[in-house]
Amino acid sequence: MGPILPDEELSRYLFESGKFAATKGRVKPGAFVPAKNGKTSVFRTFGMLEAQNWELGETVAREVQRTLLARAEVHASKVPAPLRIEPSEPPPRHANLIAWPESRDEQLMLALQIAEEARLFLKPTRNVETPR
Amino acid sequence: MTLAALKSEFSPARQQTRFLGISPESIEVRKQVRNATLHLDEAVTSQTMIAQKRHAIAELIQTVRQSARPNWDGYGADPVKPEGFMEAVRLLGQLPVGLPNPEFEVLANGDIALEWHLRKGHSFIISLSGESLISYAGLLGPGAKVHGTEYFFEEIPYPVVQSLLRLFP
Repeated sequence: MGPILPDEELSRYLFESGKFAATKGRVKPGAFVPAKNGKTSVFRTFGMLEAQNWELGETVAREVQRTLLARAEVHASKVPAPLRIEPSEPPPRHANLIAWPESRDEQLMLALQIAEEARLFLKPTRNVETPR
Repeated sequence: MTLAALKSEFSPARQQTRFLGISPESIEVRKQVRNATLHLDEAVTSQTMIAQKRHAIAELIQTVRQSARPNWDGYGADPVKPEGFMEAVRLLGQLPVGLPNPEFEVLANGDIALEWHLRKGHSFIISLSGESLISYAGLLGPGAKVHGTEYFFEEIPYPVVQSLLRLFP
């Protein structure tokens, strides 16, 4: 895929219930705090149907052997400076938020700003037909 | 009995209907009831605060339990730091009276985070590493951003308390 466009949607798949407040429909800042490698893993989901987005999330979940619970979506344009979005394939559509500052408080501030702009999508539960 | 119910039970309106007599004895009884009511209010408020802190600690423990193993988030996170947990408990005990309980999170490096979210653009987050340091960041209204790191020994650092009181005046 090409360079990141400002109006692209980025999805961060969430496998841990502590990263969002389902009742308030809110993503918590910790969902975006970088991992030990100094990166926050996201997926570029523009042009994808809702079902395809969840399918991609399920693929990631299988890879990391976790249960997909939700996803946080944020516009690329809402990722604050000095952070950058760097395409990082494989896997397809993968990218990282990079250039996180070293200090923890600056990381918290950036994560807080992203969380403020992020939208939470809970994984839909499948309707199971009751046998007659 | 709830605080509201107790206040209603000993409300001035109710007391007036009970103490219509004006003898010195009735005035004395009235004074004593009033004093007892004041103490009762204090005791109930204290009990409410204790219950609130207990609830917060129970939620903290639940959060910590979910983050005890390496890679608990699927993105390679470190397990929660026990020292950070102890600091969080200590901090909860020192928070200003009347502040709502925070929401808890464990961060990718094992730090414990406490977050207060009022509404969009009005949030404050603290991170505890177990190394006597508090890192904090807050959006306290239009154009008002704060962040920093302070030592956390005996008391919650002033900038942290100040930010929280700006968020919850």
